[in-house]
Amino acid sequence: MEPSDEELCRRVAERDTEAFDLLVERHQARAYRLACSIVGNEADARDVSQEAFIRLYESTGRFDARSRFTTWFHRILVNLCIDHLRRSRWWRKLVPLAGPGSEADEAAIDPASDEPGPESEAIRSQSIGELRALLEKLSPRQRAAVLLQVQEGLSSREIAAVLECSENTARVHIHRGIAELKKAFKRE
Amino acid sequence: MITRHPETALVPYMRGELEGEERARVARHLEDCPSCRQAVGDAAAALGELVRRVEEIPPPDPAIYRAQLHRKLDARQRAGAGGGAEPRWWRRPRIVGLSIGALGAVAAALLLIFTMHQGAGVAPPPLDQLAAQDAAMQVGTMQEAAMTGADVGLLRDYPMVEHLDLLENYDVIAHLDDVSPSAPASDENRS
Repeated sequence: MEPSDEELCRRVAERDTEAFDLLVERHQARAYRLACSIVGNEADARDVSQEAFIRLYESTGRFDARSRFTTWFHRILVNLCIDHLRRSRWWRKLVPLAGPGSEADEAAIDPASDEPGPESEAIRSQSIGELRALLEKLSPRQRAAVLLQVQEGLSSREIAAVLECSENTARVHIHRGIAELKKAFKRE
Repeated sequence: MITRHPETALVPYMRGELEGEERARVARHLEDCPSCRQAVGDAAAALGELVRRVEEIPPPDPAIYRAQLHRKLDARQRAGAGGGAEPRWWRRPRIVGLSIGALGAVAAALLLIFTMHQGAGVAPPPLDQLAAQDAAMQVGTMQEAAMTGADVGLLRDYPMVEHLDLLENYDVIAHLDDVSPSAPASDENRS
């Protein structure tokens, strides 16, 4: 029987690297995709999601075994994404025409990774660029709330736990985020 | 009559999150409100399209992703242990600049305080303080003389003590080991 995320997390706290690798293997694709949707840039998404795993490794000792691993990990990841968006926002305003992968999208946490994956970069950039244009008008928290709902299937209550706000506030974020999204689809 | 649209509850309703009275209330509202029914349909379509777009993002190569992650984790651990990794101050030159500026200001302040303190040390003490110190020294000397009078008398036997001016003669100082306590200093040594 496969160990649960919470069990793996407990083992990571004891510096079990195999448990850490297993956790990364389980969650890396979803973490990367969620980060990519929120920050709108593949290099930043890779850096932010990897930073989330590093924070996980460093702070598993503080994980409350009574709570769900995914809520805790999503909180780390989403907070990093929101911080990243806020820090890079002033830069984007200065260079509004900059596209994905440009200097304007320099990672705020670490320098952009220099090793490209073997995936088709053209398809990747186009998909991410379209998604970024779609979500451009959403605030970081609206973006996080909507994407946690559609990508991770989280309920409003779970999103509230991740964003550390009330359930009503989470519902407002989702409602306003979807309203902006509808406008963006009409603009296309 | 519709008084208020449950806008923020529509998506949770659509996703089956609502329970009990709230669910019933939204359901009743939707029966009577075409604009909210339309809003639910539009939201479902928008979210469906968003899911489709998100799923178009290809995941990163797992092996490369993990290799990068391990490199970063190793670097962080080395940095945490104070070894090999690039030091933090090097990556944040502006903070270093501020730190040096602040350090300079602190050093200047300390220098000023020290200079003022030195100046205060050179200044003569008040007259009443000097008078009190003199009185204390006189009393102290008298007490000391009374206590060690016999010892002072013994010291008179030492020729060196009788001729303290000889201490200015460096030849005598150089040959102090050769001077006998009972023997008078030679004329050679005095010159």
